[in-house]
Amino acid sequence: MLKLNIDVIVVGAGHAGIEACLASSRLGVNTLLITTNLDRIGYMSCNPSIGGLAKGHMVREIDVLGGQMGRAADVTCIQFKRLNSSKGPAVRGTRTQNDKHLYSDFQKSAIENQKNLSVIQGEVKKLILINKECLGVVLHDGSEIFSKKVIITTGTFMNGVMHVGLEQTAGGRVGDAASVGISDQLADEGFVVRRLKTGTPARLHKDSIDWSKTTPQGGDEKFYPFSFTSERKFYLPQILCYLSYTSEKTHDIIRANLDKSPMYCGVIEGAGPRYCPSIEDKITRFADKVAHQTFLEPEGLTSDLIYLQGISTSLPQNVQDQFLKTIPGLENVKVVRYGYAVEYDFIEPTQIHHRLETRPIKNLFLAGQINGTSGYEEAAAQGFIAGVNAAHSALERPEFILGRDQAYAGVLIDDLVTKGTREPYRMFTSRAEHRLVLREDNTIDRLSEISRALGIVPEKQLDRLRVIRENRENLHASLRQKIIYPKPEVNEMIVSMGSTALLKPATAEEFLRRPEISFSNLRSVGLEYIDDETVTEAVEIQVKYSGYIKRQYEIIEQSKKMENSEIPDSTQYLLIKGLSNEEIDKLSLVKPRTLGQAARISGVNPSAIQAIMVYLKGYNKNVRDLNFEKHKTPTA
Amino acid sequence: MDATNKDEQTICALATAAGSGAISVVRISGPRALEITLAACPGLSAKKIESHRAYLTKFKNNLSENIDEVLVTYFANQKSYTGESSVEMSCHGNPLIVEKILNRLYQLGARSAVPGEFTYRAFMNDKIDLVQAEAVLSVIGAQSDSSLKVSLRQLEGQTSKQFLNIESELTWCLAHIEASIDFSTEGLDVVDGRILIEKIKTILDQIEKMVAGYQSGKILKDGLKIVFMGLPNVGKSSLMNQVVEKDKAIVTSVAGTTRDVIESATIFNGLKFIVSDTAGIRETNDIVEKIGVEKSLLESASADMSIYVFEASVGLTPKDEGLIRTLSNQKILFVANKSDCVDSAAQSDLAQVTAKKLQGYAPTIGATDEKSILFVSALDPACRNQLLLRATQEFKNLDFLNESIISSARQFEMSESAARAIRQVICELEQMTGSEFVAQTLKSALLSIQKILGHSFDDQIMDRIFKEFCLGK
Repeated sequence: MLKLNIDVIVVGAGHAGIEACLASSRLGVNTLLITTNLDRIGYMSCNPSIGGLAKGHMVREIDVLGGQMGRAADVTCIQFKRLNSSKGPAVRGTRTQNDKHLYSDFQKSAIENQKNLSVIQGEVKKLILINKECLGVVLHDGSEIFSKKVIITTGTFMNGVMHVGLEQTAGGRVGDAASVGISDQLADEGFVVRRLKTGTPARLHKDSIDWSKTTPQGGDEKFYPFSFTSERKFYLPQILCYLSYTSEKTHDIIRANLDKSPMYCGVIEGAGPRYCPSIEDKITRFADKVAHQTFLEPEGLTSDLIYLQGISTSLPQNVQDQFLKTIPGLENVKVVRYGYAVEYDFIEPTQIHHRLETRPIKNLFLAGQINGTSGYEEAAAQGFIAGVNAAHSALERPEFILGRDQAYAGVLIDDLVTKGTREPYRMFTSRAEHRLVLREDNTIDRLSEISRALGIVPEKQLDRLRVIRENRENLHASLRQKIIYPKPEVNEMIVSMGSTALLKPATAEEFLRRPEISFSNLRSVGLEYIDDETVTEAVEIQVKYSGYIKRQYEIIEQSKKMENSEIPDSTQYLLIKGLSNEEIDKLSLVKPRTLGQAARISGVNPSAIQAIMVYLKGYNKNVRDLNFEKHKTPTA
Repeated sequence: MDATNKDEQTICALATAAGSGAISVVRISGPRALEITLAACPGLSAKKIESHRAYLTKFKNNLSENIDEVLVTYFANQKSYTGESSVEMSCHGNPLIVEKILNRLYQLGARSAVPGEFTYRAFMNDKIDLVQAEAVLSVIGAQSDSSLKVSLRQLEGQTSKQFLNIESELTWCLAHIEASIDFSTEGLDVVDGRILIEKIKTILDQIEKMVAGYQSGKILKDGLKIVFMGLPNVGKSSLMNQVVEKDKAIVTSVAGTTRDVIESATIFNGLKFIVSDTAGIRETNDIVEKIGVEKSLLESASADMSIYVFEASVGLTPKDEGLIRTLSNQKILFVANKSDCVDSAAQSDLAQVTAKKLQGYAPTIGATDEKSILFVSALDPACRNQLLLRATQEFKNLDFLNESIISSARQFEMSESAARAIRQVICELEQMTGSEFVAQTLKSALLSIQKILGHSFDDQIMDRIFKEFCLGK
């Protein structure tokens, strides 16, 4: 038996595990990371990219709080894009394509150099559970490691089965064995464990592709790094991706072979992601679409492998060979690794608290795909929150929870623990009801004070955040003070900007509200400012959309009444009249903390919320009466 | 009493109007409804009693003395109005009997229902939606045929159906906007902006019709309010009495007899009219009359229509002119009374002169031609038909049979706010505002519609609606 002085054990070194072990050790807590493969730390098992719509938001959020992913993505970025740049400022999303090996290396070295953190290679077979409490883990060789807290971030590995055609092999990823034991043990403990599936496309050899038949796609020239600690210039040379399309011929081949797809002949039981469908799915569900786009993405600067974005499949290898060759540019393609589907166990996330500790078992935390999510960023956000909470719990500090009005990471976790999931959960901007105030540009404003209180980000870097915020405030104030007078020469300038002449003096703020005016126009009407886009962009958005943003804050204020209305953990929903059986089941399972959370549980109707409120009024009245009775007790 | 278990309790109340009548009905609802009924009516057998059947039996007190012979109808769980096990008990319509029955029910463990509690329970048990709950209130309160028809239609769920349809259309639009945001990188076919605008305009049109229908709805429910105005002693009270078909107002030949506002109701062609007589307007030193005059002006301001009375033999005087100027932003019907005192030639002259005068100093009233002056004689009972027919015609643009009628202030307010938001959405789409802002505005429209249906939780709404109920409904 290993006797180590360990506070937190993190099982798994994927995107969730990395954030979990770094957050925990950075909070000064002795942390041990256990991984089955030291060479696959922070491995990008699927697409070689970080961020995207709503996902980029989460990367920035954890970055401000002291997370790792943003920094790693910035320094290994080989193509950068700001998505939805033509849409409004709240739904723009940052995405980088990354050199997956450099990314992995960067994360590995961060872990190796981290104080309070050690790493071992090994497979966790069992948890040490006594009296519904987790006390540590048992490794494959039978050795036991004790700790105060355990965080499991095993991704797709729990009882993982890979499918290529009708062939199945145990494993969580090509080249890595499945983890068997933990999920069965959790099921025995009464956890609801179900199956999900996900898939990945083929990797192609770059020399076998006729690039002339594809359309090159460059990234953006302007770099907006995820991390506030990164420079605003590319760290690596930037590369091109290539666009091609499937054709009717491709679809015919796939259609003719659907009976060999494990998803379509019933071999796979787990639900797949509707939002990230396999090519088999796409062709079946969008039968009238004659072509689907695919991006050919290099996996790195020196890698020979090309990732075929959008064409994930689990068809047999010979069918993959056949249909790939119908895609322009891939006529002579050599497949290095075939696409496959992986089916794995996940724990129904309604069984965990917002702090990501499980309800049934104390000191056990879960993060990442094990909670039913998909995506590196969703995993990282959970990993970070789990790491912080495990450390806080070990240090006997209060739990750390982000609200739905504070961060996408808060929306993510509240959704999971409130609604559960039937398919791999992916973040979307539309999941955030307060989306207009959860922007990438205001991440610093939203979270830097929270970050200071949390204490992971070093003081010096926090000062940088403070300076950015102050500069924003000062610039905004100067916009309010600066008056633009309708002098002829000024108006001439304004008209030349494509706007209309001023009739009376206006502040620079009022002037900037005009849709056709942008910040750069302000200099020509006499406003002096430092040209730092980190500052100007945020202020411009604040000014231009102030009406909407103000309204959003009002809505948040209104929702506070429900969010602050607590439901006691001991509430017996069976006793509340007017609830359906389904509602009683769901409420009893989720145990919502507040009326607001209860209202978000799918299948719980507004009339049920009314019933709970009536019940709670009675409850509060009884509590008051009880206190009143106490005071009435004769003292003489 | 354990407040937390309040909802588990069985409630009872008198469901018919209080007071004497042929019969009274007591309603009982809750898990113990049947048990309590059986205990009070030992003649009934638990085994034999069936849902939806009436049983004649004796109601007994705790000393086994007969209180009354009652007709008991039992409604099983789920098959009742409230969705709970309930009983309706018809007894003889004597308040004393009702009191004894209720006391016995209390003794057996039932509790007195609070106002609206039966309907509240029906709502909580998903038997009706919020719009239907409001309809229950208006069916009970309906005071005319047309109003009853609308309320019943609402209760059947037709109004709900329209709101549900709007809700689903708005959701469709929102889903498409959201998809264009979240799936912009995935080669999804997004609906064209112009198609979206067209669709949203259609929805707006629908809501605007419903909002316009509210005025009709309100009139159906509350009645058309008409007020007699004019100088003293022109025969307003006599006309009033003819219209309401009873001697409501005191009629003398003394000018200034009517001091206070007198109100009465009458039904004409299925429409309810609330008719008020007011003090004749004049300069007066009499304190009581002075107050009456002020009240007259206020009354007329709150009316759907004023009936301005003057004497056919006199025509409009300068004093009339002064008064009419103060009323000039209202709907006014000009009535020349005592038409029996002038011949038809004189009538036609007067009509022309009067119309011309009105065009001169009160053009906004719209009484532009001689046909707009109505000649009546308060001595002739036919004046009721003449007056009310003309009043109805003035409101003929109200589409009483339109199915889109909404009839509560709450539905009206929410529809209006939805319409406002949708108008903004159209502007935003036309100006190519960022999709997430359009989505937010659209969401606020959707929320208003969901609040109408009770699909979105709002603690104040329910309180407001259920407070309006009287006991036993």
